[in-house]
Amino acid sequence: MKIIGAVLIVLSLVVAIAPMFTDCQSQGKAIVLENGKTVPMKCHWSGVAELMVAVPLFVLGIMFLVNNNRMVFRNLSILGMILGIIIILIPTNLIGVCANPEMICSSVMRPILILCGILVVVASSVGLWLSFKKQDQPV
Amino acid sequence: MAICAFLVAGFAIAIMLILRGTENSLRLANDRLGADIIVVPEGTTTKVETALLMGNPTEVWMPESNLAKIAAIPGVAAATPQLYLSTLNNASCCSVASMFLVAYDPETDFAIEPWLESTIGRGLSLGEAVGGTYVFVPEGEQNIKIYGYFVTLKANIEPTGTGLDQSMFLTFETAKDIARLSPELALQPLIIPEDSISSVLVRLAPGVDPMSISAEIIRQVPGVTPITSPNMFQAYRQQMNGLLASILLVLGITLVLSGLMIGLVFSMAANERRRELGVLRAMGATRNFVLRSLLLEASILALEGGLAGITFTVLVIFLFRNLIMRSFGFPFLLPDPGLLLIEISVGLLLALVCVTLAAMIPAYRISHMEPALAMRE
Amino acid sequence: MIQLDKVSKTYWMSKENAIHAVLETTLEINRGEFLIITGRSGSGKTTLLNLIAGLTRPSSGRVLLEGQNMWSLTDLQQSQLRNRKIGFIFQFPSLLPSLTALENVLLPTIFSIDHVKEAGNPRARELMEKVGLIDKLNAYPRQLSAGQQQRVVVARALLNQPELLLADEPTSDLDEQTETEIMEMFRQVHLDSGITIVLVTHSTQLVSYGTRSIHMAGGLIEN
Repeated sequence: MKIIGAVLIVLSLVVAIAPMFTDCQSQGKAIVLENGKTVPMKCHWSGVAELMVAVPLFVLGIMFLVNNNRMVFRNLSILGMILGIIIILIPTNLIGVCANPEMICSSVMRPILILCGILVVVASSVGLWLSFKKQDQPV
Repeated sequence: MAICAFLVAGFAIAIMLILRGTENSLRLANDRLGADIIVVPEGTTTKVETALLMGNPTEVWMPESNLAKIAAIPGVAAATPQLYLSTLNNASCCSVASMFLVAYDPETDFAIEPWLESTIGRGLSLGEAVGGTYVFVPEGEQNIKIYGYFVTLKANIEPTGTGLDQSMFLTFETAKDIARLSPELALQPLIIPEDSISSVLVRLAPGVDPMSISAEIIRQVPGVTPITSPNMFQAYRQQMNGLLASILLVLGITLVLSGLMIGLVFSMAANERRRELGVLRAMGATRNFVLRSLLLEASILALEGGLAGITFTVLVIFLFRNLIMRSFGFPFLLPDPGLLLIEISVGLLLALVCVTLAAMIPAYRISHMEPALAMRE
Repeated sequence: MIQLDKVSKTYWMSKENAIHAVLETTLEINRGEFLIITGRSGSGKTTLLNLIAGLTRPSSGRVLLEGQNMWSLTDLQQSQLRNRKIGFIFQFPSLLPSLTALENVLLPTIFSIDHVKEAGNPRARELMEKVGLIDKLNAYPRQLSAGQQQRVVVARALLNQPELLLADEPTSDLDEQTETEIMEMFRQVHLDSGITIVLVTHSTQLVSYGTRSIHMAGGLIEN
């Protein structure tokens, strides 16, 4: 269980930080409007949304570390799975990234986030499964 | 030990996928081009192949008169010219950065027009274009802007994993129209040199030997290089073969080392359970029972590790395929599900065989030990 | 019932270095006896027991169980013999940690190729009751005390109704009170079923529990 907590903490950090270095804005690309204003592209907003999901994920990881109660783990795991799914949906269906496959948000940022999301779901599933093990065996 | 299986299977599958993926792409691109021979200006072979493979636009020119000379060669069933152009950078921001444009002549074309007929029922009119799978109209707009000219996207061709996916096909007429209007509409004018074409696509009569026609072309038309279909992308193929050789070597070494390590790890693990196994023997377990149990355990671990390794590898390759393409500089397309399943099974089988073989010796040794000896210490 | 005919066992540590665990020994054990073998560690008593059980091959001589030479049998036949006729209690904790007490007791049925399999479960419960652990059927070994674990081992050893019970220092890890309980249990089993028991121990105090006792030293039986 502690391992799962550590894994979630690491993943939450990746999810939060990766977009900062791999979205189009970090590469200097943005949309210039008719009136001259510079507006970030949607990959940037995906990154912001991911940051917002990463924060509760981080806390979740910490709670995995400090808790001992089986029921608590069960609930935390379910929450973890949901967060993982959201992490996957943000750069794909909910907000998305730039469509051009040449751009870094599409070739690097998106896959990294999807992978992290999948790992979060997997780790949480393992946590959920462990919380159901026979009573007398240590968790 | 499961980790070993994980690594072996994962690595093997990764190799297979990458290699197959590239072969796949090249084949699809070749099919899409539909020509037996492509004639390009001398010395531009690499540029043209790169344009077609990776979508890096290029502009090459040769005299338009070459077309007639080539078409006149006996054995040539059809010859059609193409123009290679490129759009300005960031033509329309996020659809494609800088697009490779291929202009074709609808009257003599034999590759694109037939496909168009079957897809949209007719050829392209003035101002219309067909795009690769990644080309599409930006949100909120009706058309794609090229050099200030609005082009209507009529259809998209299927994915090839190559630069064709980011290319656009239009008629000579449309291309020339764009060029004509570009000085007023665009930041930079599109210039098509007079009486010039970029390449000639040749289709041969049935049974004609491409090599002899190529030789003939070289003789009759100065300053050009004919590329025959099988030799298409030859540079890339050679690069791939070289890569393949070194990868196979690495794979071989990995297998051997893994095998040794598995044998060692299994030996230690089984050793720790020596006493337990001795107890089982004392209760009536035969030597074979113990052997079978140990091998079964090894197989299950192999399967678990292998499956995990394969799943992870396939996932990562699938997610990062764009990055892989760009880093290595050659095209890539994942094989279709049926083939993929076969390759996965092979990878899994490999992991299974490897692990079981490695576990065989320690398992045999321990199962045939005298029970009393097994229970010492 | 059991005959050891000029049996010896030598372990070769290296080409020149040999350990003579048991020197030429002849011994006869009758049916229904409760034999106690005493001796210090290294005297060869454990090896002697292993030879009787067929768990190790004699370097010379023959081991006969009811007139049958154990080592002329195939591996399968020998295994079946061990399964049906011999119950073994080891010096070390020998329960499988991932199985419950009941499952451990039922282990011998896995290896039986005859009807004993079906009769296993009720008999297992009966034995657990006999050793006083009927309430611990679903407990895991780590939840049991050392004494309780040994009792489960005894139940397991008796599952297939063997004719011979072999115990290798069964009480060496136990405190005095538990030791007495376990030895009383052996005595009770012997009285109830008339089973032949050979028990090895370094403690000469336990000699009184048996019907006969022998002492081993330096690989030989002292008289």
